[in-house]
Amino acid sequence: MSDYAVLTRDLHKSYRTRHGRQVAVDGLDLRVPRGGVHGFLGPNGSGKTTTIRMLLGLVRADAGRIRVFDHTVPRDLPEVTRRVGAIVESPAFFPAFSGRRNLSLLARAIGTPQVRVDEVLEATGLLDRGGDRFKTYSLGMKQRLAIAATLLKDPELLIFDEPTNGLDPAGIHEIRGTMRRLADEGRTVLVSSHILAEVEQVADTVSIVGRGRLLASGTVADVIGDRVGAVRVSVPDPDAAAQVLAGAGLAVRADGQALLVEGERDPGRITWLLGTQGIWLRELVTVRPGLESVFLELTSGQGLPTQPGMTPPAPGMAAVGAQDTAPPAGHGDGSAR
Amino acid sequence: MRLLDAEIRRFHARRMLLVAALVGLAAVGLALYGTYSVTRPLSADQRAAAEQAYAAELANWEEHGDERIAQCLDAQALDREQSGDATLDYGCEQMGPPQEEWFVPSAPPLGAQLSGSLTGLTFVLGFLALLAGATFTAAEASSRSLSTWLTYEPRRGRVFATKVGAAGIGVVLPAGALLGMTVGGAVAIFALMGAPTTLTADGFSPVPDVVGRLLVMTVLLAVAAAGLGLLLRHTLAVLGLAFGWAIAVEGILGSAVPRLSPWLVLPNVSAWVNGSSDYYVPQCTVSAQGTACDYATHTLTMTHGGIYLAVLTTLLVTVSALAFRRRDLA
Repeated sequence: MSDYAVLTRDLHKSYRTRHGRQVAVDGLDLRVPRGGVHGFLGPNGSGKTTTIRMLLGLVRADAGRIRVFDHTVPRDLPEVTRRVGAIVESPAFFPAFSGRRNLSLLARAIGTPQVRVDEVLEATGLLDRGGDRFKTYSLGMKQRLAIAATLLKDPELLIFDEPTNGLDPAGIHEIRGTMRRLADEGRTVLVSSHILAEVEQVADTVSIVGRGRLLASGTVADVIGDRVGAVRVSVPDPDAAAQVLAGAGLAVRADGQALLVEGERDPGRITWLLGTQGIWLRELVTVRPGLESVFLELTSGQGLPTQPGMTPPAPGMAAVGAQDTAPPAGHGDGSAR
Repeated sequence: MRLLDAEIRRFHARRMLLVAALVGLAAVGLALYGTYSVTRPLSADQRAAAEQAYAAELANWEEHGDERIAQCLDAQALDREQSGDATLDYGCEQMGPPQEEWFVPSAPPLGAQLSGSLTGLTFVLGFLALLAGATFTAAEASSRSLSTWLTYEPRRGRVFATKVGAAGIGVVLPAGALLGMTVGGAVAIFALMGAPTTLTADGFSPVPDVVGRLLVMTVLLAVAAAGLGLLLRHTLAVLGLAFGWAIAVEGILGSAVPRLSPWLVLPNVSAWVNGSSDYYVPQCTVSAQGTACDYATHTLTMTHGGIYLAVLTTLLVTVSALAFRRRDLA
């Protein structure tokens, strides 16, 4: 048995458009480990949804291989589908039917006992509104109904495609908690998103894609790796401090009333440089690079046809292209770690 | 069977089916009103007026009947002489005194009335089957709930078969109910109005046949429409195609080229439901006097109509199934 719930190899997909062929997925090698939450990250149009659709057999790959739970997709979809629950983009159900009727029809189609319908409605907090029409549901309720629908199958792999789109903060928090809970139950959760902060908080492993290619993958820590963050410095006279630090060859920029010093691994050196000039610190905070800054770093060159120096990642490890590119200014996660 | 069961339940739960059933009920109501109109007894005033008119016409015939027959025979003889065609027949021998039923109508035989009412429902049932079948699948495709469905049952062949199958099976009950109401209502109205409800073998035998053929037509149209719904993914696209075809091809082209009638839908529907359907092909000859056209009558048989509809449905469903199996879904 493979360690991966999902494996793709050299996956390709392009669409015909009025302006010619548009490449959506371009040789994607995706590895989703069994168990835990795997973030599938990339900017809009990077091929995430197309990849998910290919995993589910909704879209046919032009080339490449897909394996889900060691089964070849789409050939073995009938065996795979009952182990996979998925919400692709916004939840789509029959709008004029109630939530309960929608689930009841799905349960009937897959031979799940009807009693399970109320169980999953209760599990997702929709039991009271189960009789209301789907089209009257709020976006959060629709998402919950979609999760309830996936639970009808008691799936081992759950795929959520941009699950928090349009949700309010409470809804986002709730979905995040649900994903974590499902992963803690031993399931694999594959969640695609372009909102990285939320994924970073819940994901165990991530894959970052851009222009249909894998840019990095591994645990969140692996992907962030030993990237140098920044140091936020508060001093009484920022201009003088900036001159001192710049004179020592450090990259300095203003960050409100403070200074942000980038590329310096040792905060002690900053303390020493300023102290020797009689500039005393009010505050010194190490800003660790977040997934977002890594993501932006990796995807910042996506306007280019290819990423020079990009190499396929080794399994389970981060493989990052363009490592000499500095994180874009102002995209640190902004929190002291 | 689980899939089919779920799809049939979904078909019957759709609001569009309820709307279609209400429209069908209205059509049945109109048909029954027609039955009521031809069976209700005349009021005393109407009867008196009708009898008066009959008496007046009878008196007129008795006074001038022989004269009219003679005039008719003279005109016939003159025309035979001028045309050189001794077979010309003006039907003068059939001229006779007016009959009372021409003025004081009585109810037609129940069988004839029923057949007329049922065939009158053909296009209503056809349209409703088209609507119910198309919207059943197209609404699902356009709302993307089809993709959700496929994440539960990925075998597209099965999904397709159960959807078009459910549309076909799903219309049997409502269509059967509407036809049953038409038959039962007509019998009840005849009985209430005191008209004879006995159905002779000649009169009754076509009724079950017509009901059966209407049901088959409804099922085929629903299946074809469901297939087209999956192919075109929008109800309006299916209806637009159907009406566009009906106007452009069946109407305009069919009128311009009557020889196409055996390959058009509406004449074949008519042949299937009514037992046969005639169409007329002009045969023109050009002479010194000008162009003279005669119309040759051709008949489409019920068998021709049935085979045509079955083959057409099979073709549409096959094309749709092939597209559905290969299509990328949003």
